[in-house]
Amino acid sequence: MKKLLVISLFTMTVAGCANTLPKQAFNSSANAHVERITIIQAPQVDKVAVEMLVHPGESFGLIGAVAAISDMSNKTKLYNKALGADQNWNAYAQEQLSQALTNAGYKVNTVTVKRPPITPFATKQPEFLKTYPALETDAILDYYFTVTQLAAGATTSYVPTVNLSTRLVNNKNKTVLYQSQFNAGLANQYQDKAIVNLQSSTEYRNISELNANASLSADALKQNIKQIAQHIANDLTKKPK
Amino acid sequence: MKNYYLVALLASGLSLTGCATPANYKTRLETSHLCCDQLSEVTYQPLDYNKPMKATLGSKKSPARHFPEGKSFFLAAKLPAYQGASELTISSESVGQQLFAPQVWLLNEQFQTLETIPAEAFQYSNGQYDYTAFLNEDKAYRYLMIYTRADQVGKTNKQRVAIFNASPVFLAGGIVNIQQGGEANSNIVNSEGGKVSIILKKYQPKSINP
Repeated sequence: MKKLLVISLFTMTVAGCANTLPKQAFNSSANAHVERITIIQAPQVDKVAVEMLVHPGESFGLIGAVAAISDMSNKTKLYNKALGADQNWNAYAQEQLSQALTNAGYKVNTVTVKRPPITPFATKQPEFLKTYPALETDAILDYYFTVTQLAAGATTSYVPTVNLSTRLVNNKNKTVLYQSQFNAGLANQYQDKAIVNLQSSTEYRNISELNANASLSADALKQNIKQIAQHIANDLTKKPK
Repeated sequence: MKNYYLVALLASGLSLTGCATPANYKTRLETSHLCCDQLSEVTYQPLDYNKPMKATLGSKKSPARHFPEGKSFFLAAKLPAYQGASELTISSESVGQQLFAPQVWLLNEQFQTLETIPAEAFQYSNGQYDYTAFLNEDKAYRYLMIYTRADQVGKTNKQRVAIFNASPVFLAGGIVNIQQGGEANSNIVNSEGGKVSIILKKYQPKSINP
């Protein structure tokens, strides 16, 4: 239990720093053979986490840490109750990526594979698949993302924040043709410079305002997903030789 | 007690400014000697594969010249012999709140510009500009020139960031460091100088199972 808490707190404190992936730009000319992209469904995202990067409780040892986690869990529960049960983040992200890549000139299809879901405050970082199923495609787009109403601390606003990591894998030889990480919303001071930060101007001053505007705040998260999907499509746009 | 506050204040100040003293690049550019009317007169530093070239443009040793878009410090590199598909990444990182917005010329043996990578092609994120170009065939690029356009100078890149600090307080006879999260607006301004780096490597996509 003690170990778990320490790990949880560490994860919260360095959120955004952990699991940084090396960036790989897409060489469109060298990969002109890529016409069909199969998007692998991301790990299931069922809930929006309501988090503080630094919770005041964290300063008061284990008891404070327990209080911090409990506070954020309660806020997450209340906020998700306000949002309602019908949150289909995966379908939305999949649709945005499919649309953006189709518009970029690719033939796109999607597949679902079994992978562990993403739950708020999980200690294990999500990751890409280690192996891919046999597919009739030129390249595979693997991705995972989190949706969070994120505040820097107790006295700052909640900012709808989406973190998304993606890579495009050559289906023939399983090499990484493109890899990037995005943060749309609130970036943190120590965030790795390789993570592409996209700004979001929406914010909610406190948890009451967030809950009162649950639907609008969810729209802001969707807007962030859309913005990232568009950015990925731009990065993968075929360029004339 | 006062010392603790002072240390915390200094620490948060340092972390916000990236430990750098803002340089007055504008004055340095105005007073710098101009060199090289002709591109053939420039000294081009040899760039090797896998060996990053780094320079602080606007330092006392930085050369400057007139470009069509105004006077600018520059970094000039001689590209190595073409060895197949390659990846050329040019980055510029902020010095304090100042950032050099690069524009790049790729020149041939006769110092003629074959291609321009405009400043607008660079991606801004986290106080940094980046661009990766792929050299998939030998297009006779032999030299590379990085400078900034006058119309880029003064533009502000705004970003809201979460910041962290610790404030020591006395509680029950002891000192407790209260962790706090706050927000800051990072306003990075494009300036006449900054830190620029170039790295050239062979284009070799990595396996998912290295």
